[in-house]
Amino acid sequence: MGNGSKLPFALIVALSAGLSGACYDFHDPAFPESGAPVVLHTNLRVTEQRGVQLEAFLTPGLDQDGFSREVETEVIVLMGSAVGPRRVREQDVREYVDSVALADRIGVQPVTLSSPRVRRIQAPPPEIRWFVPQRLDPDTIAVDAGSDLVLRVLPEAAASSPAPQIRQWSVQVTGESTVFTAGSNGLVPAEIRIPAYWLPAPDSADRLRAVLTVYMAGLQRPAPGDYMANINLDTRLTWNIRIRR
Amino acid sequence: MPLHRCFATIATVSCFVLAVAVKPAAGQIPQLPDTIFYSAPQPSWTGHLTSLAANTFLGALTGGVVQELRGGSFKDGFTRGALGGAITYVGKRVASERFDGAGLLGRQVGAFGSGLVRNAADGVPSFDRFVVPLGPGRLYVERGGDRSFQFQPKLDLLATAWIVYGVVEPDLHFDAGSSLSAGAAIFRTRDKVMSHAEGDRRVGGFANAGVVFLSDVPAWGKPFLDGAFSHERVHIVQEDQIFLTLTDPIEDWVLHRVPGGRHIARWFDLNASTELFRLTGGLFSSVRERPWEMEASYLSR
Repeated sequence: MGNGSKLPFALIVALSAGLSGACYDFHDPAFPESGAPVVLHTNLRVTEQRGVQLEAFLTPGLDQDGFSREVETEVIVLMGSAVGPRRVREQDVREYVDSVALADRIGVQPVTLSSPRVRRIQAPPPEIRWFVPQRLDPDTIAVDAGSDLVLRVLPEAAASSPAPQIRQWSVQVTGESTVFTAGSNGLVPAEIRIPAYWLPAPDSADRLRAVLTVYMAGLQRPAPGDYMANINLDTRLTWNIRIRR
Repeated sequence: MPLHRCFATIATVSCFVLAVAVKPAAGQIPQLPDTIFYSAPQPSWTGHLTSLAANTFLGALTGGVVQELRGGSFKDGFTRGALGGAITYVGKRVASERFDGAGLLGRQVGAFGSGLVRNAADGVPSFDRFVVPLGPGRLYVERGGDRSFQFQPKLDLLATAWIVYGVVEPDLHFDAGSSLSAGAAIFRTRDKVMSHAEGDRRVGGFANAGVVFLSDVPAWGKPFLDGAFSHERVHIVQEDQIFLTLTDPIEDWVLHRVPGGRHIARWFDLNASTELFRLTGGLFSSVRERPWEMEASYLSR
């Protein structure tokens, strides 16, 4: 190979020496605590436009011996549909993002969710069957100018199981440039009455928009406590309001 | 039908059948939307279509522009380059799968596609030259004037240097089984996480000039470790793609103009593909936004 015969080997030696001096660092991995419970963190949102949207993370964690737990059935069953993980992250954390269409109006059917099953976990996978509020008015209602606005809802078609530990609601009425907001904790009332003098000025087409947001949440940790699910559920109901003059 | 056209048809059809027939990745539920555009879930085929289109376009552009610059036909280079780019996508798709030998098979299919792009760019018949990547080396196959094939092995200098690094680094060990399966040298840590010396970004693995280093932490679990290995196998095919279509022609051009370079170019490849990725990586604000990382993450999910 003539004059260049030693150059490739010199290059390999030089490159190797250079690489070994400044390439990678090696670290001890950071782990979750051995024996800590399986954790499912779930955010659900119910809207008329997009049905039930799910974002969830399952952390199987490590067993008492420090080994990664095996997920037996990795689907979340949401409203009867199987939702598989979008991806698996470090430490086997599974990430779920999906949405399921509603077969009926919001609140007619309960929002149901069953957690994935993890091997050698004694607690049953947490489940919910939560009834969210149902709008009893049509999507567009007419209100006489100067009258109170009354929004009618069915707070719960049946008892939610298990009962959410946290319930909050707020209603927001939006006009041309101002917004009126009211809310409370506890179950949403069947009739939300907003006095006329609190209603914002309607837009140029004499219209207002009201959005009721109901938040339900609960931490479930069935006995013996080796599986924990933190579930948050947001429901949004919308009214279009026409001011009659 | 001429023999080379027949071969082209069979190769193309076989590749697409292979791509369609391979099973969904482990842990995936068929028919679930797993591609997200603007926060809206889309069917999985849209992500594959994007990757296929990008590879086809890259191959077409490389083939067309380079052949035009060489005084040939843009249309011929563009058309044949597009076919090569599409086959390279198939190689990546196969390499990301979870069966034994997927990496080896995918790497060969990908190199075949990239070879078509290179031939299109150089204006030579599509099946007159092949490149077979074998570990840290490559076998160049070329049809001579008498229609017989000539074989020229070359050693990849940078890949060899990375292998030497993997051997001498005490925190890494060579994994012969995975190497055979991937068609490339694979090194693993022993329960350690790797990070770049200049930064502290801890990762599941690195691919450099077709040599892979994996953070082998058993507690991370098999699905994640399999996913990380699959991700790096896609990077191997990407590095072959960039080497064969972009950096190797430039390296050869330079070496043919320095004293003794012609002889070096006959037996050795320098392989600056990883360096090109590293340089262009600076154009993106985060690692996740780099197109080659997005492609590898998507195909190996």
